[in-house]
Amino acid sequence: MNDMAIWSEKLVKTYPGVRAVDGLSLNVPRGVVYGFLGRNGAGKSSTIRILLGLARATEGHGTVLGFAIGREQVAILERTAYVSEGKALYGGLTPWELVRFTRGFYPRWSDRAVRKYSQLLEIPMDRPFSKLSQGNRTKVCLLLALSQGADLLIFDEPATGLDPVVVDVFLRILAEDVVGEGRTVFISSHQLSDVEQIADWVGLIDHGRLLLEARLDDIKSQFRWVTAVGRDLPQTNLPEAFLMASEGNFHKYLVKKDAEAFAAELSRQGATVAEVSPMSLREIFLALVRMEEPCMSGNVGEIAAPVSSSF
Amino acid sequence: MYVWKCWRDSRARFIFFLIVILAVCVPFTIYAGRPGGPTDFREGGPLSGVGHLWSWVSTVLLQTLIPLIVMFAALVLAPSSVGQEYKEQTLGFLFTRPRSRRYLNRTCWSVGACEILGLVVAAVLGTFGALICVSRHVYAWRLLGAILPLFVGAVAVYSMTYSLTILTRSGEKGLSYGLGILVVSLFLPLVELQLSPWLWHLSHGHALHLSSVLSLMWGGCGWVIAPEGGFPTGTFILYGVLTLAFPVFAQLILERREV
Repeated sequence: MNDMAIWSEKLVKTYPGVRAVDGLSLNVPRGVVYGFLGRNGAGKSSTIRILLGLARATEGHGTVLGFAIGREQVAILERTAYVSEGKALYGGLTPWELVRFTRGFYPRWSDRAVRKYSQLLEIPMDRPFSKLSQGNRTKVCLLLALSQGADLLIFDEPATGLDPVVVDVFLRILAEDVVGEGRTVFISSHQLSDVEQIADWVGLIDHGRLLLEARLDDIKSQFRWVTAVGRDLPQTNLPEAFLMASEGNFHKYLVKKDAEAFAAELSRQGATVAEVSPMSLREIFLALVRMEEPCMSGNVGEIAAPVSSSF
Repeated sequence: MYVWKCWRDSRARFIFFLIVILAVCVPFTIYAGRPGGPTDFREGGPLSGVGHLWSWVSTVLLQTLIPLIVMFAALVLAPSSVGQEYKEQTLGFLFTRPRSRRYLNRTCWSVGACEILGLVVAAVLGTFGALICVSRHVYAWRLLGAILPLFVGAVAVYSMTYSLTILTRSGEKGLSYGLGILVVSLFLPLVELQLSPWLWHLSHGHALHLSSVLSLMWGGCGWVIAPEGGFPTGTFILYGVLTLAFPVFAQLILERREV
């Protein structure tokens, strides 16, 4: 478990009347970009707060960079940079003063990184934080996180208020400077297209439960839309295929694995397979959220329990 | 670096109160000691000019104005620390710095306590210096003994308000409750009067006093003026313990609080 940047087992976080995190088991390898995706209120920020010691898990346990959550919190925070969803920093301080404040906490702080990223991100360093636009506030938060020399960078909605150009610059920094140095990036976001550009792994969460955790390449190479035309298609058990839409004789299936074999099976049963097409991360995300299936983490073949499909 | 941040947050208030204290203590002492001033009319009377000056300065300044100013400063300085973090919603940022919450709490509290010590020392030394200049009388050294009771009294108020700020998650609420408790505590001697038979019974015949923080300051400064009156040791210990207990209480809250 200590080989993982983040590892958790059956994390649960309950608030009065709400089960924000529901048995979450995460496995985030070191040195990767991990996209932590989910809808509003899915439990992403609650999970991050537990990992960073801002909230206590009701049940379960885990480690961050090999240190136990809740018990070795200072050791975790020494090695972890965090940008919160709210991007709240001290309003009266300028970015330079925030740098001065933050620098003292981190032995591996890099002033060279401050100079480089403040120029790349075009941050007005002499204006009070409270006078900055939302986008510039986000940039300051990113600057502080990127300059800490952290082994793990956790970003909660990092693109808030950023224009597409800055998002592009930020993603390049992550890909070239951060991951290139073997550090781990954990991004919680709604911006699937941004995450899709750089993520090696993704975890999809909904209602506090992990729907999918796998390599992005594996997911994209195996998830397929299969569109078939046929009448009175027979019932069968197909654990990796789900009927997502049906209109007249047209049926659209989400197939998690071995789509070609599934299409061949459909043909054998008298259907005409109109199309087998790849799915974008957005389509996979939407389909899985709609199905709301809890699953085990691991490879794509294990992402869902067998479910009967009808056709 | 957190020390710098705490100092930065509170320095404007500290400097404001420093100016107020020096502006009150020094001119007041010089004014009182000048020829024809309020202490001059009894020259040659039962009290010498110098003795009366000492009495006048110590009573009006040491027992009245300075305690009120430092107590008010203590109330106002307390919410500028963690209370400010709540207001700016920056507690999540602070608590994700690699320091224990115990360290952050102690640092924050200590900066405020040091500022209060600075104010008390400035008040006493300012008065001391002015008194020396005006009278060159040996009584002035006694003033230095007032630092301890003034500091303990003021820092007790600070600690209480600081804890209330954390408990209520609001600088404004902490200040309001702190002020309210302080005002109510001024009536403790009246309560003591009403409850004296019961208190006598409760303490098995020993004198048990419900002393307000002002009683500590007045009593402590009274001892400086007239040592034969005795030092309010019991009250001093009570508020000393409270001064240390409140930050511990605040720490317990902070360590359990979720952000």
